[in-house]
Order: sequence, then structure tokens, then C-alpha cells
Amino acid sequence: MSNPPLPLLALYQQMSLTRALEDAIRDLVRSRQIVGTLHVGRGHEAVTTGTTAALAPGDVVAPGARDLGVLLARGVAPRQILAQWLRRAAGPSGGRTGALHFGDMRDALVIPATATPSLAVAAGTALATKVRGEARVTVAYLEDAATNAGDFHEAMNLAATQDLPLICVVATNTYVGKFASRAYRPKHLADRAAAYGIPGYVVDGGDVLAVREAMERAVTLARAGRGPVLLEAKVFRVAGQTEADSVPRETLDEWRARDPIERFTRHLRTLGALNDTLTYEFAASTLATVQDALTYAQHAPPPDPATLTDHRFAPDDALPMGPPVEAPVGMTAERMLQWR
Amino acid sequence: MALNEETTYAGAIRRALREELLHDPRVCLLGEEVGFGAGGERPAHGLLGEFGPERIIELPASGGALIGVATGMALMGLRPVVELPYAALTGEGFSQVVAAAQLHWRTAGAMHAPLVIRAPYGTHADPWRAASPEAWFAGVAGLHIVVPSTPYDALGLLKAAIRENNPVLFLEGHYFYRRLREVLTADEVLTVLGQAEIRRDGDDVTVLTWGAVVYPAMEAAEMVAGEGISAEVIDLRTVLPYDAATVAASLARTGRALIVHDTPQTGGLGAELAARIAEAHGATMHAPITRVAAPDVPFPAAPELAASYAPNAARISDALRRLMRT
Repeated sequence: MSNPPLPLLALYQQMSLTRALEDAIRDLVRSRQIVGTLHVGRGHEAVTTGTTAALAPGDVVAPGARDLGVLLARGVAPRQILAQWLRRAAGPSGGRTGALHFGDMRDALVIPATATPSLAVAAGTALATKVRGEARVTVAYLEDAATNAGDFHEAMNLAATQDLPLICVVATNTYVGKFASRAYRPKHLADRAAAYGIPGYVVDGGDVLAVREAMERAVTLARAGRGPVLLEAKVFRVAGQTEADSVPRETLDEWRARDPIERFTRHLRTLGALNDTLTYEFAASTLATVQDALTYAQHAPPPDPATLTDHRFAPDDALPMGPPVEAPVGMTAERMLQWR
Repeated sequence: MALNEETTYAGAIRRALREELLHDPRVCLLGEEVGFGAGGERPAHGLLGEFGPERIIELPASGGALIGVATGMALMGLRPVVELPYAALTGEGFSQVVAAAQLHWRTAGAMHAPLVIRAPYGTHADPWRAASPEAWFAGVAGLHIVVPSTPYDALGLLKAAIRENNPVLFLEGHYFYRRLREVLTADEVLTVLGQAEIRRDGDDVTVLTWGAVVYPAMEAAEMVAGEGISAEVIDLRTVLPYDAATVAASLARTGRALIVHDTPQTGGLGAELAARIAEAHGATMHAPITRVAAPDVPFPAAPELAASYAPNAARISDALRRLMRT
């Protein structure tokens, strides 16, 4: 498109691309072109899109396994993401890890996810920005169950004692279905913030505008040096733990009523911001983007087995880590997403 | 610091930290009461006043979070040094250590985590503090494990560890802090990681050891010298990855290997060393590769029990004599 889209439509496009790309990944998993499991993020799109819409380009993010939309919002290319999923040599990990276990600390400022919740690592990037007097905030994305781990408590306590510019976004899946379990006692995980003496907010994770507004409030506090914030987003993810888990058919109607993209579509149509023509135009553009990434990644060569033991240790002359020091804190024009 | 002044092991660590804080503005220290705690006994004592709270950062004592935080700081371009109150706490941060060590490989070389985890290790009167965790981490790819046995090595190896681009687990003998003294040069000391030091030359048998048991190993070598046994004592200093070249050169001469460590025998680093030596030199060895290690029990507290725990000169010299008889 020749003109930059309106911000609201950009949110819509971002959510749609996230869903379409994940659907492509799901199909690759189902057709066994990807060996591995997909931690489904279908239903999280308003959380990933709404929270990142409140960030500045120099802010740091630590997405989890379901947060594909965060990577897209930070400017990670769909080609890169599919090359990673398909374990291609050209992927950001060169086939050494799969799924979303990769990052970029020079440009997109994405902390690579590990098996350990990355909250403590995110507290570390927040501490680094604090001691250097930078205006960045760090956002860590967790899912509800991760707040039961010791790492969560240690990192939140540490972040609170240091007034770190850290926002912990917890996506709580309110659909439990046959996987119903009581893994924790509080009705709202945001209440856990009280244990650290920090603010905790609950937001409807299916409402992208509500998420963005809540996140703007959290970012304002954190950037002002008021310390960490716990933001709980209630989502309705019609899936189990992974793609391999099935969902009962009777829940699908409820899903359609609560689907964040469907909800936002209805909202935009009520406003008159979205019509059939635009919908088709956006769908075609999204499809083309996904198809391009798919073609690229499927034709990319696999990693050379001879490289297996490369990069065991970083060499003495490795490029220094961190964002380029000469860049102003996070505000380069190229990094500004078109919809901001 | 005056020239030719005797420096304690703790003083050497303090000097290394101070020199590196001055050398590189990216270096910072993290830990509980780091820089001001414990009445001057702790190596980093006094650095807070000189470098301020942006460089000497006091954090809650959460072993796992501290190492994760250090990783995050390293990702942002700093070079953090984490001080753990004692080495057993590395267990709390195990997965964070693994994640930091694997980062470079997992990102196909795009990222690395230059961080140092300093931790006092070894026997301790407090049972929950006593631990020598080097074997816990022996299979962690991408990690360096350094165990200095002298003030000079503590100085040179810590400075090199802070300049290293990979995570380093730096195990300090807390027993040494005030007991070991050495006259150190005022010149800069940088000791390359991964290089062993031959503490004593010998031709008949090679003793491979590190950390606190270097001293009883040296004593044992002197004991058997009078009996005509010439033992070479190699202090590995960096146990992961270890200096295979120095070990190979020594074994090519002696054909006999005795491995001494003060951690339990089962699953200890001696097992890996013995296997490597058997694979590389098995056909030319004159005697079975032998280990003297702690028994497969935790560190004891009573002095009477502790005396039977870590290998002492008597046990090591007995093993040397047995090796020479076969």
C-alpha cells in the first residue's frame, strides 16, 4: 500500500499476520515438515500486538514460546521465523534450535528464550539499562504456569528491590477444558504483585485496545523509574498445552465469540474503519507475506552436519554484545514500525 | 599497593576485581552485600566506596536470579561478575548457568554471555555451604571452570576470566582466603585460561590435581622423592576445558597417572580424565590409571571426620608407591 495505514488497522494487520503465520507453522507441524511441537498462540494475538504497540523501538522484549506476535512486532522477518522453525541453515540459529528459541540483541532487542523462564535474564537487561541511565524498559512474557516456578519469585523480588524498568506480562489461559487443573490458588495472578510491593493489573487479553492502554500505563510507570509492573492478560486459547492436544468441538462457538481478531474486526466495522474491500486487501497482503516466507524457508538448505561443533566457545575477538552504543537509545527511524 | 608486599588469596582476588573495574567500564560486580559485607573478609570488600553502586551492585541473594540477571546484563554489553556466598548456590542457578553457556552455540555464534560466577568452594563447617561443584557442571558445553590454588593464579586467572567471552565458573578456595600469602609482582598478571601449571617436575608418575589438594599432592611428591620416586605434579587450574596437551606431554614421559581430587570419586572429574587418558595413552601406560578422591559421601563437619575426607599426603603417597610397584 502506498499510504501508511491507520494505527487501528495496523493493529488488525499485525494480529492477522501473527495468526496466519502461526497457521502456516501449524500446517508444517501437521504435515510433519517440522519435527517438534507448536505451543499454540492462537488467542494471544491481542496480547502480543497490544503490548508491543505501547513500546518504543529501543525497548527490550523477552517473548515466550507462544509469543510469535512479539517477534513480528519487533521487526523479525517472517522468512527468518519460518527458516528457524524448519531448522534451516539460514535461520537465526542455523538449525541449532527450533521454535522461537532465538533472539537478536543488536537490532530487534529480543532476548532468546531458553528452557528456563527468561524473567531473570529480562531483569538483567533492565538492570543494565538502569545502571547506564537509559530510558529503555524490558518486557518479559510468561504464561500463567510459569508464575509457579521459583525463578518467577526470585526475579520479581529482585526486580522490585531494584525498582527495575521491567514489565512482566502474564497470559492466563481462561479456557481450561479437559486440561482443567488448579495449579494456583489466586483468582488473579496479578494479585501476586502484592507480594513484591509492585502494581499488578488485570486486563482483558482478548481486547487489543484494552491491552494497549493497560500496557501504556505500565510502560509509563516503568520508564519513570517507578519499578516493575505485573500485567495479567486473560486470554482464551482454544488449545491445550501444544498443538498435539485436541480441543472439544463444542467450545468452538464460544471461541468465535471471544476470538480477539473477530472481536476487533467487529469493532473496526462498527467504527466504519474496515470494510470488505480493505479486508480482502489485507488478507491478500498477509497471504502473500506468509507464502513468500514459506517458499523461502522451504527452499533454504538445511545446515551442514560438519558445522555441528562450530561455535562451542565465543572467540576472543567476538563482536561486543548489546545494542550498538553509538545509536540513540532505541529510536532509529528504520526500527520504527510503519504503524506507529 | 607497595612492591613486594605479601598478598593474601582474598587480596589477590580483590586486586584482580579492582584492576578489571579500572580497565573496562563494562565490568560490574553483582551479589549480596557485595563490596561491603562481612567485616572485610570478603574479597570485594571496599570496592563499593571506590566504584559506586552503578558498578558494585547489591542484589538479593537468589542464586538462580543472580546468574540470570548477569546473563541479561551481558546481553546488553556489560561484563558482570557475580559473587555467590558459597558454591553450593550454583545448584539454584544450574539451568541459568547451562543457558548462558549454551547461548553462543545455540545462536550459531551470534551471541555470547561474558560473565563470571565467583563462588567460594570446598570443605566448610556449615554443611549447607560445603560443596565443590566442578563435577556438577563438567558436561556443560560452553562453560569454563577455573579453580586457582595460589594468590598469583587467583589474580591472573580472575583477570583473564573477566576478559573471557564465555561464562566462567570461578571457584575460590574459601579456606585459602586469609591463609595463603604470596609476594606478587606489581606488574599486570594475566594467566591464560585452559593452561595447566607444572608445580613439580618428575619422570616416573604424573599427578593431576587442582584446587586445595594441590598442597597435599605436593607434600606427597616430596615424601616419595626420598624413596626414589620422581612425581610430576600438574595443577590443571582450568578443569573445563582442561589442558590436554600438557597432560599428554607429561604422560608420554611417565606412563603413569594419578588423579587427585577432593570431591566424591563417583562421577568426579577424575573419571572423565581417566577415560580420556585411557583412550589416548592406554596402550603405552605402565600402570593402571589411578584415582585418589573423597569417599562417596557429603562433606563432614567434625574435624575428625573431615581429616578422612579429602585426600591427604599419606593417602596420595601410598597411591604413588602402589603405582610404582605395578
